[in-house]
Amino acid sequence: MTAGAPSASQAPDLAGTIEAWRIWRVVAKDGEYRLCSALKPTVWPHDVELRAECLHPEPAFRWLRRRERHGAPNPKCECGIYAAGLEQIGLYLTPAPAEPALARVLGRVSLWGTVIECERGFRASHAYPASIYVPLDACGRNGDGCEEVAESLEAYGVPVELLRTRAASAPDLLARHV
Amino acid sequence: MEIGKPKRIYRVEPLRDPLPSKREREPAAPPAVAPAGPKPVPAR
Repeated sequence: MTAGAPSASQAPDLAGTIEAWRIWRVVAKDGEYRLCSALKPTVWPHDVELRAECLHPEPAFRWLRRRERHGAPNPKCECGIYAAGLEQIGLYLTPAPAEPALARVLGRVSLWGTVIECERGFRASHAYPASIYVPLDACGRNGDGCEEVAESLEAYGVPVELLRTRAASAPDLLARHV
Repeated sequence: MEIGKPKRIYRVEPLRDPLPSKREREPAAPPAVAPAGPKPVPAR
């Protein structure tokens, strides 16, 4: 197997979904808490699946570069819904200082549709959370508000679990028990 | 998230709806029925 730009015609078909891990920010929207992508402003709906679209910014001089819009994920772009292994997402558990989020949680996500397997993770066209874990310090150092966040995230209809460990230790704990 | 270069593309079809809200509305699978015929006699 080589890196590069594979074509869809080479793709083997899989029945079921691919499950991997990711980090979400928790944001307030319409009076409720919602999952939001960690690096993009994409709020995950709780009643339908999230469908990927290319959020790559248009070039400043678009007329100079005729880049056509494409479906996501595209192997030649960086678009798609990202997920990876526990060891990989652990690098992103520390929130940025000015990040607008009520909390930062992690969980498993189901991926389907077009899924690009990359060297250390996946990019998919369709995704929905499969389980959500709220670390002890997800909502700040003392954990105030974590129960409220966890309760609100139950709107996604998947298991939501409060962890008895801090975010930094969560990947190790989950690797042993999930 | 840095996940490296693409290796392979899959076309993934869910066996059942991944959305819990829709899964609950799916008809339940019929119960498994044992095939008709005499019961096998355990070998001695």
